[in-house]
Amino acid sequence: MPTCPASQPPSSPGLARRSARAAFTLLELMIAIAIGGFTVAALYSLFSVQSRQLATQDLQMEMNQNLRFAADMMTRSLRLSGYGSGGYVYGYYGPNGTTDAGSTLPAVIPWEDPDGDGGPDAITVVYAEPTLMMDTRNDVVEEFTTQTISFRPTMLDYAAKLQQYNVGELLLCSDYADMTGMRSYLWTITAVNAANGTISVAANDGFTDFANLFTVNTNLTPIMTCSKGTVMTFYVDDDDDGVGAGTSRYPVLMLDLNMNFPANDDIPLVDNIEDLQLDYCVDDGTGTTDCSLSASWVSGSTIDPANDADNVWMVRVGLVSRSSREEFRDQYPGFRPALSNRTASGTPGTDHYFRKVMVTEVTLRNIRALARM
Amino acid sequence: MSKPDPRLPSLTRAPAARPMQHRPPAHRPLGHRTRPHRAGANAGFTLVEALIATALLGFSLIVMFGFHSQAVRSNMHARKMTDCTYLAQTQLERLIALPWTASSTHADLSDISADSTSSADPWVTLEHPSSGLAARTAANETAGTYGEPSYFVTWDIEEMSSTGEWVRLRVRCQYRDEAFNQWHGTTVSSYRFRDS
Repeated sequence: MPTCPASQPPSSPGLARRSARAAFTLLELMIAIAIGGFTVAALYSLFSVQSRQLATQDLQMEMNQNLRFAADMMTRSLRLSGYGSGGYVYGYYGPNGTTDAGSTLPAVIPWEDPDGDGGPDAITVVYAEPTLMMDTRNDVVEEFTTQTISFRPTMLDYAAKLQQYNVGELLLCSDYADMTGMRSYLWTITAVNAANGTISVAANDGFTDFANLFTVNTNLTPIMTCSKGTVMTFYVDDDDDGVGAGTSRYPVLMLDLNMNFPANDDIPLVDNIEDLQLDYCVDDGTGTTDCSLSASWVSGSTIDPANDADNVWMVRVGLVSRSSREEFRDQYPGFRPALSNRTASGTPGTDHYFRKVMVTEVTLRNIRALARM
Repeated sequence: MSKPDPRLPSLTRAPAARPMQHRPPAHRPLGHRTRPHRAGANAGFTLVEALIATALLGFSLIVMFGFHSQAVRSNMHARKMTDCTYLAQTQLERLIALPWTASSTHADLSDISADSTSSADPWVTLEHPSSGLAARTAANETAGTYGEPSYFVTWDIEEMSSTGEWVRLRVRCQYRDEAFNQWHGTTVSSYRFRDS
């Protein structure tokens, strides 16, 4: 026989509220819903504030990360500039595949607004890879007509180093052929024979310059110091030209490795770098220039690469990084700020990107060391 | 058929539809409670219980807000430390690039603003206004429009040998955490030898 609830009759009017089966009244339910609604609304507003702040912090963190990485890459390369090259290199790729009139490749080449649209600057840095330095054989005399540079594979760790050279890369060799100082030569590697210790090289566009400098069959010095050559150009691709990764809405810091930029073989390095401005502290030739004075600093357009590049003591790198998308609740500062000799892009409120500016200075140690000698 | 628990609301209509007069005599006296301290088996929380629960929820929310503001503050701290490191590095690079003349060793190196070694406070100070604020110049200083500097870069040049052959360069960058009135910063150092 089924049993009923033992305690109270469900329908007993006087005891309905306290009954095991009693329901809420409409009023009770409405109050409960109201309280619950307020609680949920409060919690949601908290959640919404927090998630918005998370998005903001995320954007800013990414922006800072990009800026730091760009500054690190550039300052590290600039510190190495001129290493193993004596400041100038003979026989090289000219700008954009042409031959430079000066016939030399300085350790640093300033490019003031290279595409002429009033936009970011660019800079080329030249150095020899420090970890792959090798001396050539002292029993083989290389000539300028020679297409092969010889190393002794049994020397030191040359066998392992030779494995690191690849076809298509650059070989940068230096000697003291000239009494006035070190000369450096840049070739393109066409073949590597690690067992024999030979690296076959081909002339660059500027190779014909050697004919002007030296007579045919002039010997190079018996021992040269060679390493893998690095010729890297940093520039910002912010043009809608269909070349390279960047566009005007998506500016990218690019890395070029063959003095031909902008080109599709360039490497996208850092996203959302909106501006790159470079200034140079140039010694006036007296060797006493004080780079802490603003009067010592010039823009890249006033530097003649053929004559002044060895006098560049410091480079000031200015970068503007911006968030990867617009944050429509915020306007900070709302426009691309002025940097160096480039004016600002507008007034506050022009857009909704976050932006951050970083300016840092680097001493070009190798060039500075030459100046001290 | 299993006996339904009388304290639980039935999911079937059968008990509710049952006429009252068929109710058997109570097995237990009327008002018997399995948990006598409650007003009823089905009764809600007491006020104290509700208050405790609310307090617990409130405390955990406060703790979670603490995590959040801590994360935001850490983010700002990381950003300022990055700025500071670059400012200090830049100043160190300037000291490295400065000419070193035979007539004056460290005095020349510290020529940037003052002779750092002769004053009572050996650290030379350079103040960097934060971005967006006007830089400190004579004009806007009079007008009072320049902002408080965000970073303080100080440096010291210490002679390491009596003959002035080499010096130690130390650059320190500091900033103040406004919310907690704490100073944070970093120091970078390098040595420099006399140019031959």
